[in-house]
Amino acid sequence: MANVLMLDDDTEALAWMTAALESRGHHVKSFSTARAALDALATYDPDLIVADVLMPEIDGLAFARIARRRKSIPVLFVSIAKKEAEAVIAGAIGYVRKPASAAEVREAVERVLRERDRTATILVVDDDEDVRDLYTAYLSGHFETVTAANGKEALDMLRARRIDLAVVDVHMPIMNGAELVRAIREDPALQALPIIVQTSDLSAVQAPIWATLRVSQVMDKQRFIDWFEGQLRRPAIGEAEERPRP
Amino acid sequence: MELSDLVPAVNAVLFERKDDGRFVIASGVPRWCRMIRPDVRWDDALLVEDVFPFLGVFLPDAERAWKSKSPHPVQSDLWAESQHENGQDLYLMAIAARVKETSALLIVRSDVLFQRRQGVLQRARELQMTHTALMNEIEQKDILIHAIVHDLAAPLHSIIGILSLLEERGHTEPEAGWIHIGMQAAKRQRELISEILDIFTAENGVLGQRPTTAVALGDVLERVAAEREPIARSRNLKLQIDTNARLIPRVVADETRLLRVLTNLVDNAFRYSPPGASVRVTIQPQEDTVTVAVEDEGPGVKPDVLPRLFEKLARGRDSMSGTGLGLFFCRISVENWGGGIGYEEREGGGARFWIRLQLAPRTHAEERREANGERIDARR
Repeated sequence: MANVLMLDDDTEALAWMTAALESRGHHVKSFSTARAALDALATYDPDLIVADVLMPEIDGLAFARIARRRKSIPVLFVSIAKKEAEAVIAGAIGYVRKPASAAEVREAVERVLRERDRTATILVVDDDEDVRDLYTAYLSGHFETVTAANGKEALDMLRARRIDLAVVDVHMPIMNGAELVRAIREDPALQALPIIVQTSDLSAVQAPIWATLRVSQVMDKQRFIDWFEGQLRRPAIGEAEERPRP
Repeated sequence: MELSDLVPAVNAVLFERKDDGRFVIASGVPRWCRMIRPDVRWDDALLVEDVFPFLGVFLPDAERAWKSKSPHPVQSDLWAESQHENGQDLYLMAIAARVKETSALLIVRSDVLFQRRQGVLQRARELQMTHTALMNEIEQKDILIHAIVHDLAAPLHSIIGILSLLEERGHTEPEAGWIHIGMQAAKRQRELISEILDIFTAENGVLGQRPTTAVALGDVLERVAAEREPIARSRNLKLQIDTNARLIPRVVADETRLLRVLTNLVDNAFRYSPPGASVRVTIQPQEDTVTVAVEDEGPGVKPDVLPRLFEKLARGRDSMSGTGLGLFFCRISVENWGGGIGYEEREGGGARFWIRLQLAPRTHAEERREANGERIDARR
């Protein structure tokens, strides 16, 4: 049975999710602010963190980044927000959308506990080899990274192995980015995959289809590395106050 | 009245184009001709493009009309000439037509047409402004609906959670049936909410889904200044924007929205400012963030309103004005960029609203420049 740190600013949710896990024998410590949870982590080593995303002051993503910088603890998010892509980069290996039932929350908890040593895998899809190499160099320090040169290769890879996040170029031979994303959304086994689209074609950045295809972010290729590093390294607002006190 | 007097009587002048390209006057000379060109000898053959340089653009079209022998006249755009005596503008239009064997050029003074055209342009500008205002309102309403649907989902998480825990307890009938019915209803609600949210995000990328970019805060503040200066002047207020803004590099935001957030805060300050007062916008860079504050000399926010100030439908200082969505919109926007918003009373009275924005990560080009020893604008 596992020690679980549970963080949610909604105290009702906190109460029943705690009960749902305790009824299966887990030991749960629950917190309603990220600050309190961070303070507790100084002396507490849970096997798993279950956190909400949208919270005042320090949100769940920032909390996960800070917590994981100190201790390597697997993170599962349970949230209303559609922040799956950001969650992967913040170090999560599980995401449950609210509203969820006790069974759904438990199932995700068990899955993440089974995979607790797993690192999230990011798939980079781009026909430019230099881009694939560059992204791999940046991402591989933090994630498993695999690459594909076009949509077709990417689909084969997605069906063959577990991928947590896909970073997809738009203009590619054989099968382009839009076709790939559509194929992913139409495949029941893949449709929940978080996707970030990045392209040098600024008109494609503005295109309205991406919202319909439930893409997390669409960005200029020039910005991807900056964005990624920002997500990964930039201390969250409020973190400055969280530094060791005199 | 002779037939040839009709033309000047309707404020026009008629020329006939000769084969050598010169124009000879074929009507009387209306008064306005002498007012705008007192030195021209109208009875001589002349080059009209010398008299009216604007016609240089129109003559190629006119030449085609004269050559084509088509009975359809061609018409130039309106142009303005200033009157010699009083400097006032009058508006002219040229018409070229082939009449039997004659290439005719008629120049008409057209005040009515000009005024009508100005009216149409003015109306278009008004419609554009109404359109923008309505679009902003629709966006705010969308955000409200989105927030309400989100708020409906939050307690539903607990309803489904608790019902599912009860369901697992294995009740006997009729309780088991009741719990099952409750659970089914809650799950239908969940489907509905998720469909609404999906449709929303698919229809308009506005709702928290707009991608953030690196935005030049200085440029945005300059636009706020340019747009709000005239309003400040008309209300006898002074708008002072910290000129250091240009030294602030880029922040994480969405440019159009950041403009709206800052405009909202400035308008809010105007609304509560007594005549003659100043509204100040200050910029305070910190290590990784920058705080932009809007300060006014108005009455400030009453303490009992403070806890709900940034909630939707909360009305800050005056329960009678505004939609109650402005500050909520600001909060949702800046929080979406990883920033924050707050209020404090100013020393000596007045309100101070601030937003805190993250500095955008440095680009590689900037890093290279810095490595090469070049200074980057006031980042520290």
